Amino acid sequence: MRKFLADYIKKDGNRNVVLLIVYLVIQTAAFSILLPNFMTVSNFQNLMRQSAELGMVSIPLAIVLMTGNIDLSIGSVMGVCAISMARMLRAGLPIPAAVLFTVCIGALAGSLNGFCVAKLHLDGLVATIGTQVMLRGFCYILTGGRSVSGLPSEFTRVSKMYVLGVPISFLLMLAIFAVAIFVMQKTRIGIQVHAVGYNARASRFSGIEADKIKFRLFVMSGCVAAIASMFMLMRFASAESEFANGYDTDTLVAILLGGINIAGGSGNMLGAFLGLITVAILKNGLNHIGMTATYQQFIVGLLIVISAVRLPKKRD
Amino acid sequence: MSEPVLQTKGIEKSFFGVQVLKGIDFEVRRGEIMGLVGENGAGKSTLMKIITGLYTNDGGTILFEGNPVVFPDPSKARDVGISIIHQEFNLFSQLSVAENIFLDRKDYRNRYGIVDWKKMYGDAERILRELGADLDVRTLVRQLSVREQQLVEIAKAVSANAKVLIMDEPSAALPDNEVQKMFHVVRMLKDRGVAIVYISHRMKEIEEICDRVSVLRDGRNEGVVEMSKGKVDDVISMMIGREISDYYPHSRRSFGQVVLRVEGVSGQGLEETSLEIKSGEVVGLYGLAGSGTTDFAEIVMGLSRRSAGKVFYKEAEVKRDSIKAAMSAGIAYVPPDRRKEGIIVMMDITQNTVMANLRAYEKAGVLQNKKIYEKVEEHVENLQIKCAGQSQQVLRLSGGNQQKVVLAKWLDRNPGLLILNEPTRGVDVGAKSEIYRMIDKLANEGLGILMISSEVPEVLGVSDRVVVMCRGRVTGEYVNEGIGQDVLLKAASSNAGGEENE
Ligand SMILES: Nc1ncnc2c1ncn2[C@@H]1O[C@H](COP(=O)(O)OP(=O)(O)OP(=O)(O)O)[C@@H](O)[C@H]1O
Ligand SMILES: [Mg+2]
Repeated sequence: MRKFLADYIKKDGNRNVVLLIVYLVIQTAAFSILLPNFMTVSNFQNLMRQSAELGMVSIPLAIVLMTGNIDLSIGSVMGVCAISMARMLRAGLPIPAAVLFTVCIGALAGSLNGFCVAKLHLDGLVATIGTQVMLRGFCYILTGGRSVSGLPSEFTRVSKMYVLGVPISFLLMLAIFAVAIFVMQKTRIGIQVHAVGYNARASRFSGIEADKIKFRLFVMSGCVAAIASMFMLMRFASAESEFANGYDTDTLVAILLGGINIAGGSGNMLGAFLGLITVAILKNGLNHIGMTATYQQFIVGLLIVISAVRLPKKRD
Repeated sequence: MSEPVLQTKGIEKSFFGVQVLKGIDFEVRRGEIMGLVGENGAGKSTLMKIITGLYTNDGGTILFEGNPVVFPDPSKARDVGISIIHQEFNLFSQLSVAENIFLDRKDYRNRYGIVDWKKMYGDAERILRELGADLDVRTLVRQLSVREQQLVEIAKAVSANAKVLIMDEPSAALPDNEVQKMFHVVRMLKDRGVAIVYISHRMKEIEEICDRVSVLRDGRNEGVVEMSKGKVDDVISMMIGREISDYYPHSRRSFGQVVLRVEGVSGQGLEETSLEIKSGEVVGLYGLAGSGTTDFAEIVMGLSRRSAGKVFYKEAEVKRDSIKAAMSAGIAYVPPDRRKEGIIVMMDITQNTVMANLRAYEKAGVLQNKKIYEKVEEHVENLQIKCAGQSQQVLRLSGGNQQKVVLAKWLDRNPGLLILNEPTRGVDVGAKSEIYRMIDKLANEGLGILMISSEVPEVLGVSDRVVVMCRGRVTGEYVNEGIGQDVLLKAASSNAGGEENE
């Protein structure tokens, strides 16, 4: 067992996982001792609801990062999806049909990114900043500056549904994570994603179609963003043009904390998940202390920088 | 006899509990070219990295000009006069030649920290001129050929007044015809009194250029041989602990149907090239740098764009510009640059070996790790890949063993046609003969093999038929029966097509 642990830590990307678990335990313990309202069922339900959407979108983003790419348009895609969904519901479209259309819109937005990166071979950073701004502009057009509210209660009610006390959005997020972990570890795609991230040329020489993989990842990212946006819409019961603005950065923060290498290749899904939980608990705890969002930002940023510091490698 | 400039005594080194150097004594004198040979993984590169301060040793001492030294990093070693040119070059491709030569030297800044370009360019020009190199010092390194890049590495070493120059497989990346030019430079440095450590797997070169040769085996000293005619066989048997009886095994076999037919293919660097390979046939494709042999392979494999012509695999036409089509037809390609094209160094042996054949291990979309493990174990066994285990990162394998991983990757697909581009580059003599034996065996099993090489003896040793290319065209084709080296060389430097003849 000790040998297994030692080997595990040595592996690329696993170091963060171990460190994060240690940090997470300390952080949670500290909050629950210091804050009387922290260890309560309703607080945890809240926490789970808040982190579910972030968790969902961080999954495809983590994989995109592993291929050496980036997607900064997630927040805008969510905005477009949520506003469209809200307007469709207001127009009286049945919920299942609206869900279907919204996912299609997400996929379409994702394929726009995919097209820019995989077909036009634009730099991912440039392309998705472009779509980020473009789609946000589209949000303004869709809302006309007014927020869309008055959504049917059969829809908003879903955010208050639980299975054994766990919000269903959180369960769905866990399910997506489980699938992603499985796919990344046990299937062809998993190996290929890492290969493309580490060495695109050598992967091509092995017959791996990096462009196809990248395109599909962006489409997937769009679909998941659509799903996440719906759960967020249920919680807020209204959509305005700034919906989910800045969500891309929040997602990146969680993932980077989990030790995914922004230069591509290394990192694993477990790390991304732990990063997400850590940020969620931290923010929640700081909320209880009464710290304002601006200070919270500062602390989370600090944590990222600290986690990115690598002690100088001991020479062989 | 002069005192050694550089000497090591009892150097020991372990990686993760595996001892790779078990007490190495080594020395080199002023104005001497000392060969350092040993099988892949014998520890040659590791020893040199210890000397120059890239790794720290677990035991033993290093003496430079008689005094014990320890260098915290390679730049300190260079400051006192020990320079190393690694197996993989360390140049900055976006910087100019001159900048690379003087990269970490402060003498070119005035007291405001501003670079004195005129002086830098002037000095760079002088150093290169002394080396007999005709290079513009302002060109970016990425625009240079491999040999020119190597010259820049040498110039960098010389600029630091090297007393010892360590060259780790300097010829591995060079085409055959450029090795002599490098030798010229090396001899010149020797005459200036520089002590040179020359690591290579090409015995011909060792015989030609070295004064003495140190042999390592499994991390131990096997002895030092004073070189003179005929001594190279001693070196080989010391190295691998046995004699190689039949270096180029070549069975008589009959060929089957045509596996690959290339008709008038053109593309970048290639003009209307045609070629046929039958099953069971080994075709050697010989050409010097820039002759188009690699372009040919990449176009057949669908890696670079084909502008005209047709490729047939067993009578079925292969879709153009698609590596997938070539692969699923049954063509496999071992590229020449293993670190950039062949393997993914950050991943492990297992993943690299199955990388091109993942679908074969899927069951209902899930990879079967047990099956993969067993298959990779088989390859490791067959190719005698020296490693700590399948899960070892390929980065941590010796150069020659990395090459074997690339071979394993493509053999795993059971191809019908195998294109090997410089397959023995950086591979030790023992393993080379294994690879030749394997080529022979695979051909006997009915594979068609195209071996691209710029080493004439190798081409003549293994091929049934030799095709020579020059400037993107086929300039000669011979059945391999008593053709001389000179015939190939002549065809390789001739101009086919007539109209360009001077
Ligand atoms: N950084 C490292 N970590 C772990 N093992 C290493 C490392 N570098 C080298 N080794 C191991 O040490 C042994 C010696 O390697 P080395 O590179 O010195 O061999 P070499 O004699 O230069 O071989 P080649 O001729 O193939 O280049 C090999 O078994 C190799 O796997
Ligand atoms: Mg070596």
